[in-house]
Amino acid sequence: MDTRGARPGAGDSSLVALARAGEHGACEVLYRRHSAMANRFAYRLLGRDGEVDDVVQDAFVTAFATLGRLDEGKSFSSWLCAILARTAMRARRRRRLLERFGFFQAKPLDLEGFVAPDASLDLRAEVQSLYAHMDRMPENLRTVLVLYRVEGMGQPEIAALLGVSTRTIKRWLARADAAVARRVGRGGGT
Amino acid sequence: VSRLGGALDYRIDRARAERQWDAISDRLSRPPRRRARAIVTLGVAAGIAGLLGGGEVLRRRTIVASGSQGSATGDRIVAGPAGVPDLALPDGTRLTVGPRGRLRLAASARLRLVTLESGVITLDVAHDPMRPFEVTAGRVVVRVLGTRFTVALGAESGDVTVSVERGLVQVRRIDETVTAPAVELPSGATWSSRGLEPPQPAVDDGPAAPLIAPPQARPVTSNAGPASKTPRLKLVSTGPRRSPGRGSPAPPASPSRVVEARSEPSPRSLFALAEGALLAGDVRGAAAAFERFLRRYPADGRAALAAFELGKIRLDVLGDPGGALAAFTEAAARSSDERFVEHALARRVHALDRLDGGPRCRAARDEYLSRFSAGGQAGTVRGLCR
Repeated sequence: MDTRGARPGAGDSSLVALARAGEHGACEVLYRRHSAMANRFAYRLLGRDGEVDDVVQDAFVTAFATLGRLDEGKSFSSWLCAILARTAMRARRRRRLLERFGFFQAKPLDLEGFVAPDASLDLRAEVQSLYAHMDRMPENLRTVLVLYRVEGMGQPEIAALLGVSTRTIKRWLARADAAVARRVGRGGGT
Repeated sequence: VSRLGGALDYRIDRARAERQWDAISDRLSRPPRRRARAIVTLGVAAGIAGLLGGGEVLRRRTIVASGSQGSATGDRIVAGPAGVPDLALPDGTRLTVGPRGRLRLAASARLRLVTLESGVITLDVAHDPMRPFEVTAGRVVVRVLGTRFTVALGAESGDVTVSVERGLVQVRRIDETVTAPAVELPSGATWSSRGLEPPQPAVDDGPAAPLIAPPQARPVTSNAGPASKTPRLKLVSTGPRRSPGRGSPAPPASPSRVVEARSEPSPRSLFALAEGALLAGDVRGAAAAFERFLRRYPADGRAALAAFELGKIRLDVLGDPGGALAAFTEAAARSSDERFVEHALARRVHALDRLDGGPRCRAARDEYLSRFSAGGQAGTVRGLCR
């Protein structure tokens, strides 16, 4: 642990240790450090602003309640991202089930308000199109596609995050790409 | 993040982040089953009360008040000419609103808040140590420590009068800083804001221990004044007194009794101030706030963390390995968690290495390695003090 040149406040291991010991203040500091990242990540996974709060809250509650399972030396933020990804998948599955039984009215994708002002028109269209195509995909394929195409993660990283093998990730990505290609081919998805 | 991810500029504002944390904190503090049961109980109670017409019930954000006595929508109450007698809040607090009184109610996981806009209210507050109850009236904040009391806000003058019937409340003037003066009102006392001077500057804590105040430290707030300017607030009248909840009479308060005002930011707000300064990049302000936290609340559960953060700032930013050494030593001493102690002791070796890397450093390194030979920092620590 070289502290020279380290950013003050960097390194969460001491906070994690305190949080494990039941120190509520440490949980709060961890939340404040990672909330911006967590909200951004959740939003990119979901594509809808209205669902972000629930997913972020669920993920942090799960993370703090199961801190004992975080291996020594592993980063809290990566671990939180893994929980966020699984929580977002679960939330979307639940929502789609409720939609199917008529208990829930799906809100339209909510991207335009959050596209960076300096993004080109092409980029805007590309983002809109990708999310529209992904919206009806199976959740595992959709999540992998977001992590790969939007978050820019490598396949081994995604595999570690979701707790599956790299071969599985490759297979899911191939299926997701094929699904997008089919939708583009028939001009659907929006 | 890829090119596509970079195109999505998603941020949440501070208020939304606070709401998120409140919800998380609330869920962490309550076991799920108990929470679900509490919600069901509350719902059933609200339903029965509604069916029987037995008074007004405050649901989460909606108040139902009878029309002749006033109107209420959302979290706001506007009383009619007859006032609103005995409103029951879900936490068990009873509220009476005087004629034409106006107020707002809000609650979070950590605070219950009434904002009195005009008129007179009487509250019989249900004790909840996890969620203090505050009443804001004009420029005055009344913090309730479990009690029955009345607050009146003059519509024209803006004068605030607080009368305590039972228990204890704390009154302070609203100030820009968290260190506004406060006065405690015992049962039977009445306090008025009329004729009072604006709040005086915060009280300084006097000379500090070496760990807490290195020479380069500076106060967090710019209005800290000398101890000789300790603000005083006066109890202007008294009534019959009872000691809180015991029934035995308390000694009568003299009308001329002067209560020492106290400047006490809570440990939570002081820690949040320090952490906020750190996140905002104001590391010197953060260091000063952590020092102040340790000085004021050395026994608080967050003291170890405050000392640790202070040590990191001193070592990494302020270039003060001597100060960092003291802080890490303090952090290790204050925590009983082995993993945290390991980090603090490892950092201590780094500080000694930065100081001179001499015999003390080697001794600290060997002490660390003998205790945490398989620890996560062992590899790095082994290479120090050479």
